[in-house]
Amino acid sequence: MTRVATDAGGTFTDLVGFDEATGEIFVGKALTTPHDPSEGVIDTIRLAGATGLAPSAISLFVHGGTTVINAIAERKGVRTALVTTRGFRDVIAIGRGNRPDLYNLHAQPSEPFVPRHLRFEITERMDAKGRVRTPLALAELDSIADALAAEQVEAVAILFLHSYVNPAHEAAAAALLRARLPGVAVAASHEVSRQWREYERTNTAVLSAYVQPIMARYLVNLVRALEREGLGCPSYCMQSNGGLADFAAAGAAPLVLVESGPAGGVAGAVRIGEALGESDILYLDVGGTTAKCSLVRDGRMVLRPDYKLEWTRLAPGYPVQVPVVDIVEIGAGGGSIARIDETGAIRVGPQSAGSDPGPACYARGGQAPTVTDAKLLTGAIDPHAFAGGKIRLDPALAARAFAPLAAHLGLSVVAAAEAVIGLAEANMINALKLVTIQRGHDPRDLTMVVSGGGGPMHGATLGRELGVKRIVVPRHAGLFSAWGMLAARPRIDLHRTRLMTLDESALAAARVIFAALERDAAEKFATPSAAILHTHAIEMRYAGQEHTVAAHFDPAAGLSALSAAFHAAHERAYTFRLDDTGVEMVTFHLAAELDTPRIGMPDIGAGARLQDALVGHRDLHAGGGHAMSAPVYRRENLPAGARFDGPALVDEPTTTTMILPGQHVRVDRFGLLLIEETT
Amino acid sequence: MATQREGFALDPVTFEVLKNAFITTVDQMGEQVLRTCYSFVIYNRDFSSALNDVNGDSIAQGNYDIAVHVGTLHYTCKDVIRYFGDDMHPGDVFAINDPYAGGTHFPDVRLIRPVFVDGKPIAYAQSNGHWSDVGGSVPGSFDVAARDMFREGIRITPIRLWDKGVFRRDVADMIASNTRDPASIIGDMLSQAEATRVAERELLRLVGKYGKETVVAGFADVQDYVERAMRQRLLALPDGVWETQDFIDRDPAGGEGMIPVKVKMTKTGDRVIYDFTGSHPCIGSLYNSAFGSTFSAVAAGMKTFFPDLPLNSGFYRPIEVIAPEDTVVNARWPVAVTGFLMPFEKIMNSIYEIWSKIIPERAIACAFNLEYLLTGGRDLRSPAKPIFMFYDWLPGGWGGRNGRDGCNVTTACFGTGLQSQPVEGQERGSPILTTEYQILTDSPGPGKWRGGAGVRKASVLRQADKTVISYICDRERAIVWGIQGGLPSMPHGLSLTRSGSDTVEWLGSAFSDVALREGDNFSRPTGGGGGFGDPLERDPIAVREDVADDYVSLERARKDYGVVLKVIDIDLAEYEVDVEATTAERARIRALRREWLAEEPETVAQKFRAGELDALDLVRHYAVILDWETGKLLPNSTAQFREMHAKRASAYWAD
Repeated sequence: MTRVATDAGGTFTDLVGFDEATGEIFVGKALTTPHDPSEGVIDTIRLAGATGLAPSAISLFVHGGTTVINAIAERKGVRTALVTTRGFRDVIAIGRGNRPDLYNLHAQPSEPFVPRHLRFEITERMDAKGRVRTPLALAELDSIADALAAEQVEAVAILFLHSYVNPAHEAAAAALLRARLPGVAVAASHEVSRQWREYERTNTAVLSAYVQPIMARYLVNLVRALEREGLGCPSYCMQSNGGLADFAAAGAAPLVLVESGPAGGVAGAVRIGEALGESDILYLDVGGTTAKCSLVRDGRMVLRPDYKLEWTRLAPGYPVQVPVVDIVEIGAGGGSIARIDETGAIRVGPQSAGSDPGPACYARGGQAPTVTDAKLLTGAIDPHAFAGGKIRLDPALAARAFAPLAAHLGLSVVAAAEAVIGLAEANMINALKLVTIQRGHDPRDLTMVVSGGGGPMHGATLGRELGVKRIVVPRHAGLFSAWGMLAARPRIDLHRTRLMTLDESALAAARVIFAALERDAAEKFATPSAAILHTHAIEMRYAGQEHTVAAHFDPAAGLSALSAAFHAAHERAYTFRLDDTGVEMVTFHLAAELDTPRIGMPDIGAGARLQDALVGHRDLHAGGGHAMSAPVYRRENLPAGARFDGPALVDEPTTTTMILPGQHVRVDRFGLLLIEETT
Repeated sequence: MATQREGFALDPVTFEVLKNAFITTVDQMGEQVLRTCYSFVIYNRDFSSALNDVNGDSIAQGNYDIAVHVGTLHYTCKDVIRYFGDDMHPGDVFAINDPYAGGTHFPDVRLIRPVFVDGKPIAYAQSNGHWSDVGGSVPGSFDVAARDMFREGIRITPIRLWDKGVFRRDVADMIASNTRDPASIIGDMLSQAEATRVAERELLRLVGKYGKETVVAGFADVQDYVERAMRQRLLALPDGVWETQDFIDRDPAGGEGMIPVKVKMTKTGDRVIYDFTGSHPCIGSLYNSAFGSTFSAVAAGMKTFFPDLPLNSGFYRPIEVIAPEDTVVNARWPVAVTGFLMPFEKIMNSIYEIWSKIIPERAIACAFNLEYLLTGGRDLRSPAKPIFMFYDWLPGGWGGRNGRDGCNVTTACFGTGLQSQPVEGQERGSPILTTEYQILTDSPGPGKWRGGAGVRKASVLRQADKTVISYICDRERAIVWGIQGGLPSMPHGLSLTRSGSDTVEWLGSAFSDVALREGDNFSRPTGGGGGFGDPLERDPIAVREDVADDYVSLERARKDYGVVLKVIDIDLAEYEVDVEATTAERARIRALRREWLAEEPETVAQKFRAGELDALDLVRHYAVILDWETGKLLPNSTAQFREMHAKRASAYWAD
């Protein structure tokens, strides 16, 4: 009875296995194999096999990774066409007309994923209420099918105006095209989204079609490879909504996998919160090139209402209507490069040394000073124990890379390194503020969970600056996304846009809509409704407002309860409420989760003594202008119930946790490090 | 602590942390407004935010701001400081929308909150939003017939809207009562005031962490930083004097002839002077700009050539603007200015043209003209016959660039705001059905690097009553132009086809209060961008691709580019360049094109009326401007257009 998750990331594929009977944890880390990521997955299974993981004992397999997002980022999807309402073939090219960058007129806007000559128009029209104004000209579709065949497209998306209200025309067109074009992936927009806004829905259908054949082929490869290894258990993909989808569902609508890896981390943060009895969590993951943060509220992850692929501050990206966990990402990680700009100011990131050549101290030819070099110079990292001792770090190379910066600042190399860490952390603070204060959450009410190779090194400082309740470092923090995937449950998110002024009759209509969505979910899971956990939310707004706020909806409760929930949600998010203004319901959202048992978190035992975990001391520079002698503990030897004060360092193969003076650490029964301010 | 840099109070590390914190603070204000505003226009990102120092100078502006507002926010802050002086207290919030004191136009209302530390203001947080209505004679407060501000809406000179934290309901209600949508206006006030409170909270947090002296020193340092970078870059560029002019289509109160906006730029060392002497006196329409908007156009135009520098008052210090009073670029009370964007975009494009000569690698031709459609009436789809207001604006093409075609369908000069709206939302809210919304073939101005493509949107009015339509646009005559040999795009303007009629009426680029009835169709294009470089030098393969994509028609590939294509398979969009025929056609055009430009305009107009030439032939090859409805020659406008076409296009042709 072992659950196994693999996370095929950009550089490494991670594996975490958990034996539910014995509580034993297996880990594996191998290089990702971009030509066919299933090879890297099999490598990790074999590596973990060497430490005792038996493939035949695997009872549940979860897979996450970057296959979908890579296919999109590298433009390696299939040749895709679009069939749309007459007069509207350019919706996908016009988009919202966004300028990529306000003042940089030499920037290039995002190119649509379907070129103009593969966008076909057909006579048909619905009005905004879903009533047919012009019937669908099926005869035209025949010649379009001929043209699609001649163009040898591998996928077709269909977008008709107002299909989110009435999908009849889209459904008829999809049926005909499927019959006429066997082997071609057909995605009608209403099948992937029932929300309004034609550009966003077109992108969703087009991108879904664009990656569908790729993902379907990949999952077939993976299943075969797993079978050859002797796995015969149910298999799931990690979705961007923090839940799981079986391979069949994921292969049919793969866009739900777009932020698969990061969502695994957030799912893990939810599970840690459950173990601690904390429902509001601020989650931070610091990797090699970026830091990602996300908020867990009331024990649930928060989904983004307006997710955009490839969005940056200077690029509008591609909005898609799929449920994606709300993650703010910034270019600050271990590989982030520090530089002096033209006026003598210092910048850190977003340029990154990545893993190749990597930071200067890796001795692989990197010359630029990075945050990891800074962490080495300030004593937070042990040059001999990095990555479990597999990568030898050279402090002399780090010092050499920092020399120009130090000279420019008139500081010692170590002080310059501290300054660079401070700048990287200031950038992370700005991102953390975006998901907390900016969205109406007081950090003092939050528990901060940190992960990734870098999270535990920055957590103590960031948590102190934000004033969070406490900082939690989970076990295997460097493999946390994979572990989080083990904690996730099968999940489906369904949305319907339907505008109604909030009153008794609209409330009755809302109940009908949710009942239909619940039936839909039960059908998709092929499970009776009773075995499904439902969460209902309605995106609502004050009449006249454009933006919506999601309010929890209890189907059993009355009008006043829903109204109160909305006013409270609005006030919480935006600090004011307008009790006398009318309220409009816009989009109905059902989150359906299968009620499966949660992954256990075994006790680590309290047998050992703290002294046995102490492996030495390192000189640590962490503010104050001088070195402190910090005791260094080995994570795996720390017993439950151990307590110690900062400054201190806790080493483990995938990361190092830094604790500041004035902070106190307690190791709980699950082996979590809980860091709090002493006063 | 790290050592200080000469001329800066803070060490580089603290500086960088504070600089980013200031920008994040302003972005937080923007997010707050975006998510809580009432006005539909604000929601479409017609808003900006700023932090101003104790003198009113700008410390930081947001990443998502409106180019148009940015260069005016320091003026309105200074006016509030001038007016209230020491009579300011914690919890006060002031409001101003006065274009004659540096603002843009009446709908842009700014809320300004002083941030107090130790009993004194250390900074001001400012939130500017475009309210959906501020009164005046028409819904939306854009009256094309306005000659003075009394038809445009309420002028808010500096007022106190919150008094020591108490909302002055009496003042707020008086303002809201002068608009068509009082409830939304109060909502916007609350939203904007809350945004300034977000900024106050952030600044106080920074003061708590770094101390007042350090934060205040940071205010000065970030401005000095931009000023220093700007001056360094200017010093590295050649000195000189550059001049150009652009035009507004007409003065409705004057005779035929376009309205010149003249710009002379003198660059000496690390300074630049922009002199608008010679620009036309104020005109009898709302297309006048007060000084603040003119300054903002200069800043926005110039910033395009220095896109990586943060924008604050440091950027403005090397710039001087001379704009004679009572001209279209420096209107004073009570001249109508709500259409200030029309002179604004002429100034901005002129500055692009000048800087294209100084920094050729960033050269760019003229962009399409910003346009704004307002329709309103009673929606008969519902028994209650509610009032509907349909505001619409379209993206268009940007100018061809040195080494790259212009951007297709992109938001206007205005900024990243005013994004294209979802048709599915529009059709729900208004009895207007869109029948076509497509990239417009042949809209790009031809060039070696062509302009970006514009669009066409066509709509039909459904069940409605008492409906009128107004349109704010320009460049029906002062057509979007090319540079360095590139050609113009096409005339802007709206066409109307009445229900049951086949006759297309040309209503042009500026009109108001035209009655619409059920079944009437209206259609409008946005221009493409102007071309860059001689179109006869464009790679024929690139022309072939444009024809395959329908950006250029087969016919105009031959006429404008001299490229002759053989059709291989029209359904699969396959074409082949006929190399021999192309060489011959290009030689023919080269031999004739200077004669076309010299042809007697009236003869050209006759050929147009006879159907031998079309509007694109006229503007691109003959540089002749007509009244597009009647086909009547506009001799003065044509002379003006030909003068500039000779300087921008034919002067650059190698033969």
